[in-house]
Amino acid sequence: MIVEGKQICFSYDLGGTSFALQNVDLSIAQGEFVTILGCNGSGKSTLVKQINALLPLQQGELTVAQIDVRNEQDVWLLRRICGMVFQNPDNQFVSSVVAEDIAFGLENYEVPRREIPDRVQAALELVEMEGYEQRAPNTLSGGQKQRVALAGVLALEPEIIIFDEATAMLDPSGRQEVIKIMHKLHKAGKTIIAITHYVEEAVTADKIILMHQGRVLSCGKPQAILTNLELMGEAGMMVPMPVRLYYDLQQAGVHLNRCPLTDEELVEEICQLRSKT
Amino acid sequence: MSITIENLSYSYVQHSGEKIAALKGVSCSIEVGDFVGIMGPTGCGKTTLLQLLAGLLSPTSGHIYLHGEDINAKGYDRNSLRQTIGVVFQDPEYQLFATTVEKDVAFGLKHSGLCRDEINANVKWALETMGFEFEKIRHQSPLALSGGEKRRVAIAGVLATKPKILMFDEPIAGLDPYGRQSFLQFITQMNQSGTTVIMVSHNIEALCEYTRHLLVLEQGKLIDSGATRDVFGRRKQMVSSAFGQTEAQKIVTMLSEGALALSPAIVTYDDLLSALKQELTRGGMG
Repeated sequence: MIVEGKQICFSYDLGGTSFALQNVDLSIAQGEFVTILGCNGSGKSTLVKQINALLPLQQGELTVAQIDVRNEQDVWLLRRICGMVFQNPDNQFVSSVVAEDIAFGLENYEVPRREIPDRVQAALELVEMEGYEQRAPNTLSGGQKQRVALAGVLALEPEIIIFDEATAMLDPSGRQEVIKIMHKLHKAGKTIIAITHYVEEAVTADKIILMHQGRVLSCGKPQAILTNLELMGEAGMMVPMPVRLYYDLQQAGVHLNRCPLTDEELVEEICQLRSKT
Repeated sequence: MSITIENLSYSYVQHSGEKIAALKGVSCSIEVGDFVGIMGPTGCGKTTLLQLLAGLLSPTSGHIYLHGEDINAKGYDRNSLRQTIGVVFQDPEYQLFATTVEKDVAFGLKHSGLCRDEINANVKWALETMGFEFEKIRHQSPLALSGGEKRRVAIAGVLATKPKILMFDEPIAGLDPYGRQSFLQFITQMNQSGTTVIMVSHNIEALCEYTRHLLVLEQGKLIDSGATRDVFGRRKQMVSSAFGQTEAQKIVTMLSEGALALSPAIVTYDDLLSALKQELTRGGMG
């Protein structure tokens, strides 16, 4: 397991009376695409911020790529292995030129100067932003900005990439751009941890961790979690539209063969039902 | 009270002196009591339009008339504009600054000419409208609240001035599904009680379900406007622009390719559900 956590508890309140995380167990395999789903305040961001030591581990155990997150001397190594892209692309830029922005992390890690241009170029290619090296970040679209922020993370060649609601502020095409790159990185072997409110983004994950009030409510395959009305309701989440349609049609006496997760599966099921007559 | 926008253009000037046109010749009007959505891809000029409407930017050319008066004319009473229009910007929680919630919400009323009792009454009303218990929240530091609570306090600060026109820039980005729903229901109530609402959003489903009229911007131009259903119904245009269709429309398109032709007027989930029920139960299917 590349990420393994046991009985993690965390409180923002110094007295420790209210917990943002309560007895969370976590295990993520290398190369896995994991979506963490849950409503505002369910503990999603708090949990991932423990993974790259942006928040200190208060209780429990957590290792990331065999590094104990409590070892302060390993914190820079940990953050190189585990990169993070945040919600607001505008808050992630430190330079007024794209290439310099991507180079910032490399400079901090004292990567030899001669290697930096190639690493920047390779990162830009990964996010399909070649040719934008000299552009000012403020002239880019939302999706492009997030891809540049991601390139800054990729230049450090991390094994794990965390997306903390990285699509929440983007328009539909920007969202699609970022999702496409997430899947491309996953195919290339990276471990992806994505936090989202958009259930449709969770459909293609290998595994979903469903959180509620600081606890892991359930963990499993998308089909098992996203089609469970009761469980999703308990977590304060809505099911994907094809699932809602499946149950609403069932109530009206129309029985599809299986509960579809995607629009494509829904269309397939409806066509199949029609072909039977 | 209507807003008339006439041939409105705005250009930002970059450090290099280069001008970037953010809005190009936009003309439209917004009626009193309407709920208007503004949609379009990132960088299409949505926020610039809001800032122009709020009088925070002056147009490069063109006019905005509120009540028939040009808000950028010399001698126009900007104070009355500020009292008429309330703007909730994106991530309003970052605008909080006072030491207590009560002081923060009251700040906008400082120069309103209201007496202390009236200010207190407005602050209490605004916080209660946003779902807070006044006595519980008034002395708390706004910076110690959760993200969702901060956003509600920031909105209360705008509501306290009791604006007749409320404008929101991406108010539901980052909210979870129920947070989104309860917020949209709240602004619908404000609208039903007579407030004109103008909402910029990327959320197609929310725009489709809650707004009555839509303005569609692309690269600074108004490419479509009208009743929300009509705009979503003009699907060819929606496909060609970068922000797609509602999920129900996508499913209808995919079904038509799979030999089940449903009405192109289907826009929302409820439309789709009732069409499918009718189609699939016909002749004893199911």
